[in-house]
Amino acid sequence: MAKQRPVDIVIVGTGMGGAAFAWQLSRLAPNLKILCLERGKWLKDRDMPAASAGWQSAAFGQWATSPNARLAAGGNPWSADYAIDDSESPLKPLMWNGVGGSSVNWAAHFPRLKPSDFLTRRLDGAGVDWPYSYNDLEPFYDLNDAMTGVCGLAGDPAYPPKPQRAMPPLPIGRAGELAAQAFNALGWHWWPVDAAINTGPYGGRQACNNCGPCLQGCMRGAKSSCDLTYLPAAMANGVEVRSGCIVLRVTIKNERVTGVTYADEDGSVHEQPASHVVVAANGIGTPRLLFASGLGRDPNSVLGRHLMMHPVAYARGLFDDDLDGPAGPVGAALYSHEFYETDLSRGFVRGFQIQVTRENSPLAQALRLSPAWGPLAQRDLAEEFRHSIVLMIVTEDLPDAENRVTVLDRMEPDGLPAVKMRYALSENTKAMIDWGYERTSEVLRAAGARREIRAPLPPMTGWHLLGTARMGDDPRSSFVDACGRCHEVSGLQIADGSIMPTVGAVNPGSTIGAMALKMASELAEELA
Amino acid sequence: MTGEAFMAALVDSIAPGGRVGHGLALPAASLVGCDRNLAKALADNRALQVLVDSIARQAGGTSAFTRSSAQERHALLEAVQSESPQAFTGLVALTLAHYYAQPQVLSALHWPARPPQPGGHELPAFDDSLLKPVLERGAIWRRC
Ligand SMILES: Cc1cc2nc3c(=O)[nH]c(=O)nc-3n(C[C@H](O)[C@H](O)[C@H](O)COP(=O)(O)OP(=O)(O)OC[C@H]3O[C@@H](n4cnc5c(N)ncnc54)[C@H](O)[C@@H]3O)c2cc1C
Ligand code: SF4
Repeated sequence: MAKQRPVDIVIVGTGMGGAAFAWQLSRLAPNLKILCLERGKWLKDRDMPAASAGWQSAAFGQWATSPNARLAAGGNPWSADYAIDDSESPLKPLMWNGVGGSSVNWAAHFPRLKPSDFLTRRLDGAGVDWPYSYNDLEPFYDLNDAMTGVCGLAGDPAYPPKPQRAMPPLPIGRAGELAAQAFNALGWHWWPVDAAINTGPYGGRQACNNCGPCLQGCMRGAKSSCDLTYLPAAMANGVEVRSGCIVLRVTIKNERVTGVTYADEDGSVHEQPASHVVVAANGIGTPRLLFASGLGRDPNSVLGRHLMMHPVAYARGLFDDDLDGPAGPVGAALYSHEFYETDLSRGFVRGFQIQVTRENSPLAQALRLSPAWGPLAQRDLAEEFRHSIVLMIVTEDLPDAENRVTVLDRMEPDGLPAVKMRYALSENTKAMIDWGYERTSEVLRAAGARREIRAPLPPMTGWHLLGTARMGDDPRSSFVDACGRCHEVSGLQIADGSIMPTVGAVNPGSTIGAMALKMASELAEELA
Repeated sequence: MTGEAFMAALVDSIAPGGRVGHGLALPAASLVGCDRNLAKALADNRALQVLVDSIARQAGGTSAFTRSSAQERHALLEAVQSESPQAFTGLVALTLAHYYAQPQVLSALHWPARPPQPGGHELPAFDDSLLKPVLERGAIWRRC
């Protein structure tokens, strides 16, 4: 095993957590030698499928959002995927395992949590409270916005005031306008989304041209991803990024981290000494690596437990009018937070948001019809394509110790143990979806829909993998402290979505970035 | 077992085209080359070959399948689908992937017959006057 020159900090993973952490630490502690190890590669020439004839089928093959689907299609050269046993989960895990992490194939909807999300136990007797508040995170949300590049509109009455967004909001399209008018008719809240997408030039990147398939990566670089934002800025500060390097173990001696062991692209194994290791390998990759490193062995450990995924349910309204089809970034155009907070008379605790999203490619829409073939299928497709409004109920997922990531007694080709996720919907979530569907029906009726189609819990919606190494003050019920420091060993920190104690009902990217910036500031102060 | 007429009848059972909603008329799959695409794919896809052979066999031969009515073919394929759901899904996915990539089909759906880039799509800018009632209601976030 080759021994590498020691560094001060090793960061595992270059997604939102790892990249934001690397940049902030490199800026605040310029003397530190910081090394990022990333299992996947840099995307070369932004060679995504959006400009090729096969762009629609690519989303089901090498450019699928699911690592398992990419592996089944022979693999993607930039994303170093590992198989995930998802046989006991109705929601399938989605991610990108290349430089920039899952920000490469995300939809870039960029909401924040709200003050109440940090206090669900105290306010509503559900979940657990965070060890800090919205106010503590707020300056880091602002900094993360500036680094990421956010379009949107300040002044949303469902949030505490936020600074002016750097760019105007995304176009919401004809479908978005119809939905907005329906929300207005019902007297319900709605607002155009904050998105990490350029609607004008920003950060040396050009504006979005509404091409549509953001989940296969953005060829124009209009969608913010960490390979275009945090990582180049961190590298300019002296951070080294070694791609194609799979971390196999965090090495530990006398309850203190000594570095990591990793395998490079050629399979050669290296020992990398470091004073401090930061793991940001995503809600599945992080517990997998930590279990492989011998952590979380105590049967009472929470490592791997409390997996939260924000189950979603779709309602599509069909209209006679010509609407937009798959034009505009595929993620949400606008959202309603009317039902975000607890009202126990609804039959569940906490709440959900309704996102108005966009249509998909004709092939994607055709393949999800049932039946997907024959004359009826084609009639249904024609009825829906360019004639639908898509509403998505995004539910708050409360932590449940039985929803978990474990490792199996068998090794995968990448040198790490096989990993499995188990996930079941809670009764609370089911009640939320049932009640939410009554509300989406009201919206669609108010918008003038001719017909409504419901699609609860489509499997390929495991976008958010959170909570599996949760943060808290008490080592008996949490894996890391408020600064992301592991309770079990010193010198180990976790800086990704794994540490979220609860997840609200909004997408997590903005919070993951803000948390990482906050933790890196604290580490810089500690090491100063 | 894979005559041209049989292949055409098979893909046309999956995407028969014709008049659909909103005044659209879609081409049949065989008119946009899905039959040739399937024939090509069979060469190196053993599971697909087995499935297609079994369809022909259950129909009493390729010519019998070709001669049977659209309804009979549909019923037979439904039976095959419930026997071999995974392989049948593969056949449908392969056929539809080729079908919906064809310029004639995209144009028939009134959608640009080109990939999304580099042209993108035009959408009007957001009109913030729509937000008047939301703003009039005032702050709704939960203070704590
Ligand atoms: C299709 C899709 C759409 C999404 N849409 C949105 C959205 O609109 N808004 C939003 O907020 N969120 C969205 N998300 C979720 C969001 O992208 C993720 O929650 C967030 O990016 C996760 O950041 P992370 O740093 O925790 O992990 P990741 O970004 O997943 O990064 C983990 C990194 O660690 C690397 N890694 C893992 N194991 C190892 C190892 N052993 N050695 C070395 N490297 C390793 C991986 O290769 C990867 O690069 C979406 C996700 C997907 C997949
Ligand atoms: S819609 Fe915009 S952000 Fe999304 S991939 Fe296309 S250009 Fe990029």
